[in-house]
Amino acid sequence: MNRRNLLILIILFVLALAGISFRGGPVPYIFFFLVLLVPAVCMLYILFVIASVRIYQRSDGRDMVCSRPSDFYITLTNETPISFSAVRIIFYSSFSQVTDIDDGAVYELAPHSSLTRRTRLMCRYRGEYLVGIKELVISDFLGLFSVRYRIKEPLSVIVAPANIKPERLRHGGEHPDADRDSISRRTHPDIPVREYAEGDDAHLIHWKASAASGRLMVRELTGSEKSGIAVIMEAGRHSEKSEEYLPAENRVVETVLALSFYYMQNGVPIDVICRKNTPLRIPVRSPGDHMRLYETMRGYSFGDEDDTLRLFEELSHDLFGSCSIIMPVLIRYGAAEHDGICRINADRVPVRVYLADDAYTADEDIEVVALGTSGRTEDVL
Amino acid sequence: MITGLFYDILIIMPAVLAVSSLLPFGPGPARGGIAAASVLYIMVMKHVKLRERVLIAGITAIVLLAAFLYLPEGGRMETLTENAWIGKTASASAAAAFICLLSKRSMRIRAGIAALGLAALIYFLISGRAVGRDFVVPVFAYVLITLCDIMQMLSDKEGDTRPERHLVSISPFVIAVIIAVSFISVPDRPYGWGFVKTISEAVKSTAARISDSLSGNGWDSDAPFIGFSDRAGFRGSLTGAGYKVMDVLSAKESEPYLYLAGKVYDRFDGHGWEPAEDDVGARDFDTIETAAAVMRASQEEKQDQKAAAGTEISAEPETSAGAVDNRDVYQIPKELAAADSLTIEQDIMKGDFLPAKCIPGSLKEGRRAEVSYFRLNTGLEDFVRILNSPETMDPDSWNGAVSALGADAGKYSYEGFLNCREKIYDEYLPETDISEKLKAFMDEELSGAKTDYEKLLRIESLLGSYTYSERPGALPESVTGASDYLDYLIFDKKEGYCSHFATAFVLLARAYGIPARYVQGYRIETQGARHIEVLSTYAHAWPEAYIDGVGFIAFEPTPGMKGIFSARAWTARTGEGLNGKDHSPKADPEGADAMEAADEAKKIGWGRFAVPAAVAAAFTLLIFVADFVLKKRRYKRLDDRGKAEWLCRRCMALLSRRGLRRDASETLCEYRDRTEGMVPAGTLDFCGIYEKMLYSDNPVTEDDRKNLEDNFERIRKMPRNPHIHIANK
Repeated sequence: MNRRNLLILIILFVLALAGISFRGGPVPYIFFFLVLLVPAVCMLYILFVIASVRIYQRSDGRDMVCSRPSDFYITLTNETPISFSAVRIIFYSSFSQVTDIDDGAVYELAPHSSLTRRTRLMCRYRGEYLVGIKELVISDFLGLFSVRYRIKEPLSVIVAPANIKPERLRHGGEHPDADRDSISRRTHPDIPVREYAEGDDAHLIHWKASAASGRLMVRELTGSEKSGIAVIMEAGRHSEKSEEYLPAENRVVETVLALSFYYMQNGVPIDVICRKNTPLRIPVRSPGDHMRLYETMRGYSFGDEDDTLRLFEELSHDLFGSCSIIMPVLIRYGAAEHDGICRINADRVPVRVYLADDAYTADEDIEVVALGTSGRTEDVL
Repeated sequence: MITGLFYDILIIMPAVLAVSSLLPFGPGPARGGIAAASVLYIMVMKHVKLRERVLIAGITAIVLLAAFLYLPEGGRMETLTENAWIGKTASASAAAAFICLLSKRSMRIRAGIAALGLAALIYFLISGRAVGRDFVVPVFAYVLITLCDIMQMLSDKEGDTRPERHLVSISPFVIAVIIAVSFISVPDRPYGWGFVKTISEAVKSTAARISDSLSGNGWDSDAPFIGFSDRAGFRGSLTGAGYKVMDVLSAKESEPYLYLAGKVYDRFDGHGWEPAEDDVGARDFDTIETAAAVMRASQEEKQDQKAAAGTEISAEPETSAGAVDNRDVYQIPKELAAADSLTIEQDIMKGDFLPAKCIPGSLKEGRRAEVSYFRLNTGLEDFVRILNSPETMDPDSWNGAVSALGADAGKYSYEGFLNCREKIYDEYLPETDISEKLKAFMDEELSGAKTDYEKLLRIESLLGSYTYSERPGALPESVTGASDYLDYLIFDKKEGYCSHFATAFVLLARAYGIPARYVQGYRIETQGARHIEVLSTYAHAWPEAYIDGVGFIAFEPTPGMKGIFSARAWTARTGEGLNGKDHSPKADPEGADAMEAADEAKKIGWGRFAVPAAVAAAFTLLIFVADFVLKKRRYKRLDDRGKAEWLCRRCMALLSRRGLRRDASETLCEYRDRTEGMVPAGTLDFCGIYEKMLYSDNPVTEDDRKNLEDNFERIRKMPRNPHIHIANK
């Protein structure tokens, strides 16, 4: 309620009380009853509007993709002979954004009229949550009261993660591509390179050798293939509040997708290890593998808080002996996570932790890259 | 148009009504009606087209003319003069309406007018000048409506924010508020905050009760019934918060003072009274004795002085035995003492309210008790005459009274009365000694008083001249008996509260051979209310003295508490006698001349209707002729294309009236195809020309126009065919 109007009403009420206490007759009493009745009628009016307003909202399908705007339609209808003086629409804004409409606009709906707006809805995080119109703020015709009316049937969407496809990664210091090359070079020392022949997997192309030689060269693999990179994905949910867990989980998923795409694109074998009741290993060698990974990430649900530690316990250290680097993508990193990583990393493979958090305790043994939850993944990664 | 009309009415009507309420002519409600009608008339005229305006003006003129002609010939000018206020009101209202219309677009001017109205209200409030609701409500209504418009104007909203449409569409809520405040009752006095006082007193009484029960107050344990407690004593101070004892509901408006008698006391030991043996039957005998005295006196008086005497005994019995009727004397309930439950519903001036302990089953707090009552109009001369010259009760008078009252003759026999009277003298006239000094003093005071009643009045007057004090202090230890007490009070202290003076009265009366008793109960100043909350602070004591042949009469010796109550004054105030009869004068019936004049006025002059009817018919014909002529002239001035368009539209209108309306989404071609079989051939030929006009710039030839005119004539002459199937809805 407008504070100024409230103050004026209180002053008028006190004056009315004083009037009837010291004077009789129609002037003070009618004024008193007016001061009593007007707010009551204003509230009745608001209740009438709440009972009468019809709200329709529609998006292009229930499935949406993170950070990809889609059409969103809003309609407010007044089917009564009474006008709705002031209706303001409040949208869900924690995880989504509605553009092409002024969030603070107040609308007046004439009798038997409707308000239709075509807007754009963009979801910020993957997951399932409510979007669109959250509540209406309905005010009376004198601006005395404002009542927030929560929508009874809000719009729920399932948002798929954004398929981040970075061209380069920021980590690795001055040579962002150093990782790829160093990882690539950590093959068996007796694997030569040879000239490209038709039918060779394009991912095997050794670009440095090709540049050096001026011909397209591919790695010729003899002996057992190294697994390359192991990405261990956070398995647990660390908060009950959606404002906390949605951004963090979104960051984790997008980071996993981005890393897997980047290294897949650059011919580095990468395995994504996550937990779906049991540990699951998803090798990503080709765009098709990446799509399968994406589909898995679409439906991925984070489990209990301890699931990540459980995952570390369930993973055998033998899995990582052949890895060039282990990249856990976590939400929280502490002593328990450190121990878990050390347990699986018996071969002392380099580890780089991607942390969807800004706060962490520095670790001498393990490199930690704090991504945080703000900003776009492709920017922070 | 409708929205604009309603909007104008909403913003103008309150202002005009307010102005009309201030006009110094004409009756108020009628003035408001004339003003409202004027506003409606002006607004309708403003919003209709010229043709309708002329029509309405013509009808108005006809109606006024008819009304004028309907009046009797001789009195037309007088009637006009008498009702000139109607014209003045209408003119003033029209002027106010025009001013409001001119200021409609300027919110500042409207706000200024609203402020002016509020200033006027404040002026009336402060100056105390009377102002009617018919001014106040319209002013507040105007302020409220202007406020709605201002809020709308100042708001920054999207959508259709036109103030006219907005105000009209929210008007039901605004009008509901205005109607509600119009009909709410408005007292002339400031609000008494009764409920706040009730809550406050309830809290205080609870606190006082708790305090009394903890500290003890010298009374018996039935503290809530302090006026009805067993022992009557003296306290050094009466200060202390009061608490509610009970509610008394009166069947009708009470007298100014209501005495609820509790126990009676007969023995005084110098420091307090001991209660008399409770004998309810004695009260019945006492009542019958008084009734007999009144009856005897009434029979001796002239018949028409009966009502003037006003000495009536009326009672509303609890049971059906003894119904209320037209007799001057009513029966008292016989089962009063034996009732298990009693409801206090009537006033009591003399009678007894049995305290809790005496009622079988006990009167618990919160329980209602009924008591009957009667009142004695001791202030009237006639009754004073009875009191000053009482006659010893004889058996005939007694039995007559018993019979008249319908009482049980066996229970209330004359012998029983004699026994009762003997008991009265035994109990209420013990030997009472007074000092010589006091005797000499009292002899002086009572010298010349011939009757017992005169003596009692002088004692009452003497004691009433002393000082009332709630803090007289405790009685000295030296006071051990009646004589000590009287000397102390009359010569020394000369102040006290009710108990002191009632005690003194009883002792003095007894000293002079008049049986008297001390009564304790509650004295309430009712202020005419029917519902009285009896507080503990109303506890009171008063004396009753026995006059042989009349019965016990109550006196009020406490200074400042004697109230003279006269039935004549009561009748003048309420218009009803003590027995409920209406004694107010009746209106005179209409005289014969007035009847004749009324009959004359009802005769119908048929001739007076013929002229207005003829004028109305002529006027209507004139309107149609003028309309026809004007249309013809307009048509002639059009060019060919204009004429063609007009003809095509007229054709479509005529066909529409015959049930062949063209849909908005239908093209002319589709329309023609749909309706071709329903009308005679050639009827729809105009559609081709119409199509050509709508979709091309080709000029309309004269042949086309002539064809259209022929087509129009054909359609105009086409009968309404009931068999035409209406394809469109």
